[in-house]
Amino acid sequence: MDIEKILKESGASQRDLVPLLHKIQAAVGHIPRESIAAIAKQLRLSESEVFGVLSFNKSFTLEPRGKIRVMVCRGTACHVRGGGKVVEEMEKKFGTPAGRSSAGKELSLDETGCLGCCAMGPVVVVNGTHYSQVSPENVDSILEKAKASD
Amino acid sequence: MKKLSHPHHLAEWKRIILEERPAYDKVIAVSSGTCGRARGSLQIFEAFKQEIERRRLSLTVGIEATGCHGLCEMEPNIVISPEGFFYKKLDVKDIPAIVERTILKNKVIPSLVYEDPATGRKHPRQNEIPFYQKQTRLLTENNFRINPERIEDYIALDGYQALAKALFDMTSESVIAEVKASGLRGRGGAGLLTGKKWESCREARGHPKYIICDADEGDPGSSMSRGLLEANPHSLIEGMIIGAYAIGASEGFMCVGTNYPLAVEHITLALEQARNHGLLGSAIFGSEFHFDIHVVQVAGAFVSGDETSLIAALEGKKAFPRQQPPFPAQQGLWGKPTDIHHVETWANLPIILNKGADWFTEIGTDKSPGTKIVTLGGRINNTSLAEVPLGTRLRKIIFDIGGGIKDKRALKAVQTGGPRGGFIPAEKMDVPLDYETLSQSGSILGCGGIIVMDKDTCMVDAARYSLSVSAEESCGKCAPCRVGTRQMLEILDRISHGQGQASDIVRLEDLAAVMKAASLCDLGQTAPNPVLTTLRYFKDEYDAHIREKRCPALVCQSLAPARKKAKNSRKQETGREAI
Amino acid sequence: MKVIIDGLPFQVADKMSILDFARDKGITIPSLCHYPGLIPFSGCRLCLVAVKGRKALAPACDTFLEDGMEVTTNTPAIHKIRRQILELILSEHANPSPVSDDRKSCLGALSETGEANQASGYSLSSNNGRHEFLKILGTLNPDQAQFPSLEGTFEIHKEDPLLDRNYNLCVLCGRCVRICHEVRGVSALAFVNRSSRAAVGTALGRRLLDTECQFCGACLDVCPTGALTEKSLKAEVLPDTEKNTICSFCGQGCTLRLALKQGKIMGSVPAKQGTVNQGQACLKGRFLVAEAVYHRSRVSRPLVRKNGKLQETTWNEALAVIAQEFSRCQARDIAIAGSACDSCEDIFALEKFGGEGLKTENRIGSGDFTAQARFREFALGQSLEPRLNFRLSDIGRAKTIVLFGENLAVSQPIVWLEVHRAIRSGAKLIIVGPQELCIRRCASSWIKLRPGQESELLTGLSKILVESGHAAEFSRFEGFAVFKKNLEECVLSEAAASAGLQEERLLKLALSLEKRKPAAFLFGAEFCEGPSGAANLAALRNLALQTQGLIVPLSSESNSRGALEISAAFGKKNGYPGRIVQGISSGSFKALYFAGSFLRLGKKPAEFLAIQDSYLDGNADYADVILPQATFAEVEGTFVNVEGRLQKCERAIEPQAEAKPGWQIIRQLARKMGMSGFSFKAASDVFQELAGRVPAFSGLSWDQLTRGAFLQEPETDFRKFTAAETLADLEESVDIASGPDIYKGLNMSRDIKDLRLIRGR
Repeated sequence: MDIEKILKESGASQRDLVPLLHKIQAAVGHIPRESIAAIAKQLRLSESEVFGVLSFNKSFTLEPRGKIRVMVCRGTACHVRGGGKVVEEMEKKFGTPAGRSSAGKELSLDETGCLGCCAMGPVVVVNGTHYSQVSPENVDSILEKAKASD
Repeated sequence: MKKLSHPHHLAEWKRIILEERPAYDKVIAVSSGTCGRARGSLQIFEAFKQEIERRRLSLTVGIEATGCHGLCEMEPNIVISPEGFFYKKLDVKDIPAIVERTILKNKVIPSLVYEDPATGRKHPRQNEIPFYQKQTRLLTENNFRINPERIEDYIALDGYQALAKALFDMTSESVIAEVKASGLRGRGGAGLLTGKKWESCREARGHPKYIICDADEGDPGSSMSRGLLEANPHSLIEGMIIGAYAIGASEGFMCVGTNYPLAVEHITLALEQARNHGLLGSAIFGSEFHFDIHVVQVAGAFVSGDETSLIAALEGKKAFPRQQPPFPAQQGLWGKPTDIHHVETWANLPIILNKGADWFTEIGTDKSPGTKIVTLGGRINNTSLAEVPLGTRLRKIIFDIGGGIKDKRALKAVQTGGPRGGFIPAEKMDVPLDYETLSQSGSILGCGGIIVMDKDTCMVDAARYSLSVSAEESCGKCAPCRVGTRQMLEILDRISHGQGQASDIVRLEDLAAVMKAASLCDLGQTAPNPVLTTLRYFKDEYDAHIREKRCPALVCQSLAPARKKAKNSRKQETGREAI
Repeated sequence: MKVIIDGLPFQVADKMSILDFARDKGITIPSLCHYPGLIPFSGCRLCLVAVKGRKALAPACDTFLEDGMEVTTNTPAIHKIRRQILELILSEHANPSPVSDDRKSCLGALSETGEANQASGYSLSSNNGRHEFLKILGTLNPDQAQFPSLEGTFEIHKEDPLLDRNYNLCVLCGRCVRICHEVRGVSALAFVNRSSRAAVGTALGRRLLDTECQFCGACLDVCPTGALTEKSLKAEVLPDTEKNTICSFCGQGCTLRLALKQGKIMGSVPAKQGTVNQGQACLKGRFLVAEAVYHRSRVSRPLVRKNGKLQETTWNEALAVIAQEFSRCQARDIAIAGSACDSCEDIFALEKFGGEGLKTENRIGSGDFTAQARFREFALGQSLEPRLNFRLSDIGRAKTIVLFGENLAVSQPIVWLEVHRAIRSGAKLIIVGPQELCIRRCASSWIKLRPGQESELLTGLSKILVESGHAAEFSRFEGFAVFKKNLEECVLSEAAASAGLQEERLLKLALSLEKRKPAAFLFGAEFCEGPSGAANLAALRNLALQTQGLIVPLSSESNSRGALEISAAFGKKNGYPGRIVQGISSGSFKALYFAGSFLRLGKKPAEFLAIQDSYLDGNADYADVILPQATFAEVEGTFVNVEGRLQKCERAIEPQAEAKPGWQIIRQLARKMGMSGFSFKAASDVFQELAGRVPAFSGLSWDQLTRGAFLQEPETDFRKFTAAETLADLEESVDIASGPDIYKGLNMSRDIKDLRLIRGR
């Protein structure tokens, strides 16, 4: 679904801002910087207002995401069970720090807030699929599975 | 699909549902909330389906994917009705044996039966498992019996009868009176009397009025909202409609996050079903009451828990909290009277109306009737969602229901209420789980998260981690919180890296004082709790870090000697995925 | 109600916050984020006070007094908290570094630079050391080293014209964001990011030039730390006095407070108590006064053309040349063109000179071509008394505002503020015009319409209102029957189509107008021009009658209304102003006198041309004599703003070199020509005579104009519908050089670099 279509189908007032941003991010993987002007125009807000809400909200990113999006849970339970080490290992493997742009890259890495599966931690989600009890040792096999299923 | 236009239709519909239900000899309920799916419950479900078909048992054996059964540690698990056999930690290869022996021959398979970690005893039936037995599962007891994608299952269990009663046998005012009499308090943490909030909103001038359900669970270590949304979405919807009727609201908002896609799926489907059956939308039950609910994704958009911040987020604005008064009940969404409650609060309403306020007040304490769903996590045996009467002592929750500490270790501390809750030491496990009692101990009830720690937890690190969450959550509007959390974090970072100074303790206390006195909203006011309680109860650990540059729990990397890999006794499973 | 504050009893009449009330009574409660006129933010937390019976401290800015409330504004505990909050804020910035805020200095350095300002007489800190943060630092005495500095430094934003942004000094009080959003209606600045990365900024860190920022300077004026500063004042000498004046760059009539050093203008700020503007202005009045007054094209000595070249000379000689030429000509061969940027005294003197001295009827002024002039012409043609007075607050109270074409944010900035105030109170703005304006964002609809088609739209709306039965009250008005009959000719589908609308939308629009009364209709000269001008005004007036509508013709020069009234008092001229303009362009006259130059000439228009102006513009190439006129900051005089409010402008500085006020120039010229009746000694004398002769000014006295006074207007306004049959064509439109950025001979958007940059976006 391209952004123009999403904009056309959106409401035209301020209350539609967050749902609109969610739709764009779901379709494109991130919020393209060039779309901010069109969003502002559609909702009759200033670009600064749109950006203010966008930059406040932890769900949204301006950085392109890879085709395979890897998210590591950093909630308390997962943290206690070694989530930090999983992130470190992945950063090493990807060669990119979590949260950065992966334009052109296949994989992108993000940290995420608690996913509510604390018994299963550390939890990693790859393109919507949950993996439980992830450790630095089995990071490789998870990534292989992810690439295979793509 | 026929729309219900009279309460009699509801009873009739229930009758038909029960009549038309297949006469299964056995029904297998597979716990399939997100946690279960993360452990492969959907594959278990598929495997059962295939096996049942292969054995041509489809007419006598039913298989359902339900919401979370609560005992997450034992996922994937199933409950087999009518006997109530509970099998834990299933693997696909267990299925044929289960069908062969338990389904067809009622024989129990010992290796799949729950074993009490403290006593070593096995409990094949779900209602005999201490974890379940010791709870009071008002809101969650139906989780085994409901396929969350089928409204009929909810109807079969007397769903929407409370709503019918409210609409046709009661006035809005008498509904409010009943809820007031029940003493129900908000389950999101503030603990305000729901009935009073409703009364205040009803009396407020302004039109239209709005209802909001805060279903965006931001706190790490809390999944009670997820549990309810995934397993029994209609209970929330019914509660919200009752509330809308009481207050006179015409529009409701279900605010969800992005971290629970399954929950969003289930609630969206449930809303559609309710609309199709005339239980939501215009002319509910054929009456003159109109009310509809929209699902809105607000994740990451607002400061957790603060009502005014949530309202700003819904309005599409920067989600800074604002000063109260005026309260949302008088001036909320778009300046109109608005009533906001947590998911769990809404879920209590159908029960209260069905069973009556008097019945409800029998459970819990005088000041806080009813139950609370808690998320048990950390170093506890039964990582789970449990439901207990308010006033239950922590000791009971952690040991009797939670099964005690993993690996038979000693309990060190418990953090209640999420990252802004305080740490309660092992000696104080007689503290009852209640709003005031936990506050007095320096913690908060919050939305009911309980994280358990043993001696492998460094309290300084735990406080540091909690504070880092608050520092991230802080919206940045007021300096006491925005800078205070950051400065506290800096101090704790230094301490955990062996660069602590003697003056740091006083600094932490000063910062805590200013944050508590001057922060604009609850986040800044409670963010110091982890630090204050660890200072109060675990001062020796701070001393060790600062004076001796030593981390007693061997956690803080810069201070701890290298741990041998063998010490890590957790199983190294290959990560199991769901489809 | 009765309250007790710090042990003292008080009576409180209205609903007030603790902070507002305390400040009113002289009780100090510190605050950074509070600002009069802005919604309380309660973000800085400095104003926390103790209220008896409440466990927690309450923010005084957002807590309202109640009967019986007992408040303690300061205790050692509260003082400590305030100090700690300041220390926390200070720790967000880089540690103190040497003076000069061109470096990434921090807040703490402000106190040093404040003192350095005083000592050196130079502005080393922003806003001439006016920022309030200094005072708060002084009162609370925070320990700057209490908390370590944890944040990095920001780059200083210098890429915009007129102002710099140095976020190393920002305390996140939000005043700039809020004033831009709540008052100015632009929202160019916003809070971005979250938690410790929270900051004030624009989308993606863009320049203000790349946002809708109008560079009005309001954010500068509210910044308590000087994070936002005026470029031109950095490291400049500090002013020694301040004087008020009335800005003449457009028709709003804002009171500006000029900062002067040794009689020279350094800069200007809007006067907080300004009658019309109340602390607000636009970028011209805020930033460009000095540049305009001291512009390189300023003419300050008399010039006479000798041997083809303009050469400086004496007043005596220059006036003698003019006197000689004019004396030679017949009255009918002379034409006078005046400027509506001049004071009433200047305009009156010129009219008297031309009409009674030279006895020529060929007199026009730029005020003849405004919407106000056209509306008057139209009304008189219908035997109606034209009512042109209105108050800005009337617009603020309207529930529907229909705007034809004018980009208010640029051409009528204070009117725009009032429109925005109305919108924030729930009013709907409908913009009708060919182009999408930047204020479209705040409008509930924009009807894209070419100029000239408005009457069909308006007539269509009238028809719907009549047919939907809302006509009852108006059926008693004169001319209703004919009006109703004429509406039968209107076909709704065509009316809608002409505006590019579906008929249903037209219906909705009409009913919305009906529901949301009163309405206000704002339009400029374009609306009234051309063959459809009369039809437009007629249709508008009828619709206004039906919707209790306020009719607001707008004009963009500082004294358009004054010029209109004075000109009317001197009687009918020879033919319409447009014809006189044509005559000038086609060389029909032998001698011309221009005060200001609003006529674009392509060649020399007559044998003799004298220009009286403050600036040399293109027409100077054809002039034989140029007389230097003083600008508004250099004269004492009266001006009538777009509301019809007469205000007295005080002289702030001495006229440059030999420049003189217009009325004085005319006095000298008249005397040179032996005319009597020009013995004014002071501007007040001119005004006195003016007040006696111009009906709109009757009863007004020079000494009683401190807060301004409205022009006189007849009470009655006929409730009479306008019939199409009796419509006379209005004057043909004429191409003149007038607009919001033109001040006499100075085309500011062409001749001032910063304005050119900003307007050119």
